[in-house]
Amino acid sequence: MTISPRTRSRAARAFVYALLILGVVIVTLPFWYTVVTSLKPQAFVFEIPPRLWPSPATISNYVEALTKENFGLYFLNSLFVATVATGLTVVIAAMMAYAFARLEFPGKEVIFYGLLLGMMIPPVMLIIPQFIIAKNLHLLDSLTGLIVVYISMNLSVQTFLLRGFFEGIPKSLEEAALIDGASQWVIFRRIALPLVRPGLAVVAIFTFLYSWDEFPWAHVAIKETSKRTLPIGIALFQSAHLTEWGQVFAASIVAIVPVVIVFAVFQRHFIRGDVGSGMKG
Amino acid sequence: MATITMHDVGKIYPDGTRAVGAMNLAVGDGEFLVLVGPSGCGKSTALRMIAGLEDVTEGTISIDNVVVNDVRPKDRDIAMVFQNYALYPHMTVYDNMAFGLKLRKVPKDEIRQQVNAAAEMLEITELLERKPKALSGGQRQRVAMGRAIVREPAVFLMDEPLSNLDAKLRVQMRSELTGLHQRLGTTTVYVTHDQVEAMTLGHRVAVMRPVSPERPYNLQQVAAPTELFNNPANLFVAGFIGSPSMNLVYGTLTQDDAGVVHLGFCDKTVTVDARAVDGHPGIEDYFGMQVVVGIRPSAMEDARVSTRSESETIEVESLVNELLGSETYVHFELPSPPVLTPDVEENLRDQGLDASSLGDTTKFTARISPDVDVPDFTQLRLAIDTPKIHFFDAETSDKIGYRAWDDHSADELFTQRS
Ligand SMILES: Nc1ncnc2c1ncn2[C@@H]1O[C@H](COP(=O)(O)OP(=O)(O)O)[C@@H](O)[C@H]1O
Ligand SMILES: [Mg+2]
Repeated sequence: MTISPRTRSRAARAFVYALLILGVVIVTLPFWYTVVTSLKPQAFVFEIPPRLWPSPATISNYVEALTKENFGLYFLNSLFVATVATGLTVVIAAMMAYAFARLEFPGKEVIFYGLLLGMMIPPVMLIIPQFIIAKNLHLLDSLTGLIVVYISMNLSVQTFLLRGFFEGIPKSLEEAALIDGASQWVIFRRIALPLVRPGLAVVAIFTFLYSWDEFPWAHVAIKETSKRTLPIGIALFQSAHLTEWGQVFAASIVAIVPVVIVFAVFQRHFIRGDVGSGMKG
Repeated sequence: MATITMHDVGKIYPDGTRAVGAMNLAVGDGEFLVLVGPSGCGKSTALRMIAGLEDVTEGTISIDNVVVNDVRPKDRDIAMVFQNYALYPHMTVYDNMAFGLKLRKVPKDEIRQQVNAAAEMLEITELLERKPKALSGGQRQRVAMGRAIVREPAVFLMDEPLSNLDAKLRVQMRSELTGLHQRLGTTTVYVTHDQVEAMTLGHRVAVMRPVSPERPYNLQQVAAPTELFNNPANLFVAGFIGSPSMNLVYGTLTQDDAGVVHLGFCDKTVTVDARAVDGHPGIEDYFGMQVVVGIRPSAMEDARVSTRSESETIEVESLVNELLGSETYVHFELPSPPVLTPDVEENLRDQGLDASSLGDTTKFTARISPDVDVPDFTQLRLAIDTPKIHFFDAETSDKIGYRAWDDHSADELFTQRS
């Protein structure tokens, strides 16, 4: 029997689709399980085999998680820390990246590679030295302290990322602005920055995600209950409540919401970049 | 309104490349000066130094007699049109044009008025609200132009502004540029590698060439287009200006007892009109020596429709002919090795050819009247307009008797012009 090319290509396509579907299942199953569990009464959480549909369904996990303890406060703490850290990281990384991309100053490349070196040290290794420094600077047990550390943890990667974006801007655009009478700051602010918007969106999303999720440092640095962030708060759900898994998962679902919003807001910026569109036909 | 003076200007890039050397040039008030030359000859570098986008390594550049070497671009009262247009992609056409005015704190109403006036002049009024992305190449070009004229600067600097347009649009924009310049009268320095563009646009044309250790300066000749065409300073200019380019062949001049000068090349001999002899002062010293003979295609004609004397004609065998309607190009070969001087090789390189592509014969093109019928591969008698023959020193490539411009004084050049 001979297989026609058409049949073969159809088979190949079927295989590719099967693989993709498998991938989707692997990725979404844990999330789905989280959602389902958050809607199950505690008694059904450890049911074997686990059911993938919450019946009976209840929203009591949500009600309890959101009203108990300091969930609201933790949520606001996290929101504050992540928002400020993200905003400042975007601003500082953009300025640093622009300087590395476009300005000439002595030791530029050495400093830049120094920055990259910092990127390569595993963050866990930094916790103890960080703790000592933060302690001396009175940055422990404070949200400001968290913000400072989160910015510093993100700055090198994001500067590296944005430098590439800035270098992609045609030089003649900046020269045109220079002749038009723009100062270095105006060129940065009015020409370069709007053109790297896709890059800024990426930086914002990743920094927000990091600052929103960060656990180890927050766990080490924050002792005071009222300064806790959400990841710590959710983690404490486990021991404090004999691990009400339904509530842990309900809190996690709520915790995802801001991330989804940030992503939804910023992702449309990196769809349409127009760096090159003022150039020749 | 402004004059520009470059005095002994040189540019060495940080990596050690010398791009410009000993450049002396005076651009008159309201003049349209074109810098032309093969790519890499330093045109952009020279222009960017005038703009203030590149530091000047040597010499001085003055605008209106003020040395601007250390003046920032924005304080030079210039506007520049870039080859790639460099429109701000995130701004509308209106904002692109208004940007410079806004930065100069021009009142809003005035900005609106000026942008609208410029837009009208360039017929881009209906594009004002669009982003560059939504414009065609030709429209972008106009906007780039609009951004330059809206500020009413003292000087326009343009770096190959038409090179990205298709041929038809390029011709149209060329004539619009001329019209625009007539209207505004702004001093303009225009860079192009296209000699036709240079010849049609420039009041004067400065022919440039890459610097080399033997010849550490770029400028070959600065002259009006007709002067460049009729009196090229050397083989480089002769070969670069004119299309099809000047025919070159080795030849020897002799003078008979009657004082008539004869030119022998290959197996041909023609008498040379006294005007050609007079046009090359000191040519007597070259009698009996090998010289390079330059004959433009347009200086030849079918003998049947020419008024030149019998002694100024040659017999050739035409190869393929191109009938263009308004003229006919006759191609033929002379059994003589091609002229190969450094100048010729440089021109060839610019056309992406090398010396071996010339073979071992000399290829000629004659432009003749379309009224005579010349079949391919036939014997043909061509009359040479011998007053228009050029003779070059075979060693130096310079035109014999050309007032070599050993004097680099910009002041003198400028007084010459006015
Ligand atoms: N930034 C630069 N650094 C080093 N060399 C350069 C730079 N820009 C141009 N050059 C060199 O200078 C010469 C002249 O360049 P350019 O002025 O751009 O020529 P053109 O505009 O006539 O094509 C070339 O040899 C080019 O390679
Ligand atoms: Mg150039």
